[in-house]
Amino acid sequence: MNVFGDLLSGFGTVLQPEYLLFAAIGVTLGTFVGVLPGIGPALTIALLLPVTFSLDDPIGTFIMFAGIYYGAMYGGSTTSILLNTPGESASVATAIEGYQMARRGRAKAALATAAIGSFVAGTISTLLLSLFAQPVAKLATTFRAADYFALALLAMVAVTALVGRSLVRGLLSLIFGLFLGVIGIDGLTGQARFTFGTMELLEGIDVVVVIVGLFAIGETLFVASRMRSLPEHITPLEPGSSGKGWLTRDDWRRSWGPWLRGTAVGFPFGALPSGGADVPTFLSYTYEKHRAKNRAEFGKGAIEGVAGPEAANNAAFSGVLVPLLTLGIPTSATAAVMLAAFQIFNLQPGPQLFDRSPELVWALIASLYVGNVLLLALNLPLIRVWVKVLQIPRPILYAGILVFATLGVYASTGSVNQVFIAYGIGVIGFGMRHFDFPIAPVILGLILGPMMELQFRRALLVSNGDLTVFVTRPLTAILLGLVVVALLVPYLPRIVARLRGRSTDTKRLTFAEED
Amino acid sequence: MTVRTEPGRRWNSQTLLAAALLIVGGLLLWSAVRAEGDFGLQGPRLAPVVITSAWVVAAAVHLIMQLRPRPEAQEEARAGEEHEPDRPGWLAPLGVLAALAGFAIALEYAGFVVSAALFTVVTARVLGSRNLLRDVIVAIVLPIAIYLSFTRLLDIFLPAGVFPL
Repeated sequence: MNVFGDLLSGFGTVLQPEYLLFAAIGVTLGTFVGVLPGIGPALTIALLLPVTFSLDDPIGTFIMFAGIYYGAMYGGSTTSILLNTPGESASVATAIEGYQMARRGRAKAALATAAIGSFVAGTISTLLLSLFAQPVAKLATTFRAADYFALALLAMVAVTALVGRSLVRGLLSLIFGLFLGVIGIDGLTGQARFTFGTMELLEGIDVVVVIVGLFAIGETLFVASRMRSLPEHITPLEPGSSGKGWLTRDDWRRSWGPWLRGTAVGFPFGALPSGGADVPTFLSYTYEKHRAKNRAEFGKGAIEGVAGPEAANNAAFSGVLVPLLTLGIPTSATAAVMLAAFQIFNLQPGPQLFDRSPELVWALIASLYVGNVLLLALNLPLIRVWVKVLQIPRPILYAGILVFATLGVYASTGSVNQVFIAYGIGVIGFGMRHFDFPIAPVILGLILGPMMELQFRRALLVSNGDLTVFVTRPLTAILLGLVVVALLVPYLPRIVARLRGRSTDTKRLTFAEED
Repeated sequence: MTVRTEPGRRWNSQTLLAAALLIVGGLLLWSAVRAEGDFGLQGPRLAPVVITSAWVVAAAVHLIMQLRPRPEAQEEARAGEEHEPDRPGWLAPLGVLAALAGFAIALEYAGFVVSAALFTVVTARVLGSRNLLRDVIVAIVLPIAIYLSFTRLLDIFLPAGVFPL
């Protein structure tokens, strides 16, 4: 079947009332958590994993999860623009110009360019996903164990090197995640590793437990430690009276270029192992600032600085789905949780997914088109509702998050001991936030580490223990070469400066943390 | 000069942490090396040893970077000083942790609704809420709604405990 036939049958599935409901729940929930600072899509999906145990329908579940991911991207922009507190790390770039626009009474224009830009970028990038997914999956069938090992290594190292302030801190976070990943019984030989004689650790540490610990417990403890600078109520800027004030003709003229360029940056960066949406949003912001004729307006509310990053941020999500669906390799923390969800349903994302469950894949892709339309309808007219969400008192909000966190771990493991393990990881997560270690590499290490070890041993099994298997295949060698490049990229400005004989005052390239 | 002592203190806690990480990494490496089993390229013992070795190396590099005075470090410290009013308090996180521990222990005895209600009131208080009536209303409505939707709609088991539902 060709792509359009597949896609059409995907639409046929999604447009059934039941799945439309799942999509609507997903995007609403996603916008909700996107608007709220402190909880992101990764945590939300992790908390919903126990709910999926009782839904024996993978298609509905994944339509909902994709809606959450997408909705969080839309919702994050509202918080950035009205509150200057990015709800999602991928919205940090939006906050720079968006909040300035809101302060100058142009909040509605900023919200509109963000929402419409997200829609444009989401639709174009979903189209790209529809076109690219199957060819990439075909290509991936030729991948061998050694290639998968190299790919997993590349994904881990690239995210670690690009995210956060310091490479060593990122690596320490990654290593901690890898360590959590080897705890428990080794799948191939049955040997217990790092269980320290306890029964509780034999099954290993569940992804849900780690994500809830780091993102819910750790985050709340961190907020609690900075209570005094935290007002009980926050007052977002008024979006302005309804009716007038959306985009003017001039705004449209200034927005469409950044939307398209943001999409062009966002999609490939999402697909590459670079940690989701943070890198492309900042690239888009910098690029728009650089090429703008009215550069003086940047920092004072330039609409290009909202349009570009928001488009990039939504395009990146469709990009993230390319390696996730075709290779089974997550490139962001949220994608890692979605991978865990696939495994709950005994589905293994990868080249075979397109052959074994085509209806799931194409329904998921079709649901992205539908979700985009729903989000556009949900966001702009209902902006006042989302502003109300921002006014939930912080103490109640965080108490509620902790109740859901405990509930999520208890419901998915059925054991109070696991709840305490989550609390313990939460304390570690608090320490990491306090001492400025990035969180995302822990999740990627935890998910990709065991995958990497398995493929490493599989590759050696095939080659009879010959290590040259990792360098003799050109593809594997190239991927391993890219790992080295990824480690060097953040230091590029410094290296170039030194080669030119200048002083090394240039800082390393950094991007904000993914969540 | 008082300006100097403040960054110094911040710098010290980072150094202590780096040293602690190195020690923990060393202990884990020791336990990985001493574990039994096949230490071959395809065996189960390679990954733990590789990972903990990487831990030790990264922690050592981190410690060295912390000990080496850099202009960047002073800059960071100065930036930290500007955040002075945000100096973290330890009471609230400890209070939240105590409430969490109580919640988890009470969960199976008192049931979800009662323990979650108590936890919500206490935690909102610890996190600085001064509106008791609102907290109590939320603490009663939210857990009951969660309990009913989880057990009745989604068929997920939650301990009922003392609450007759």
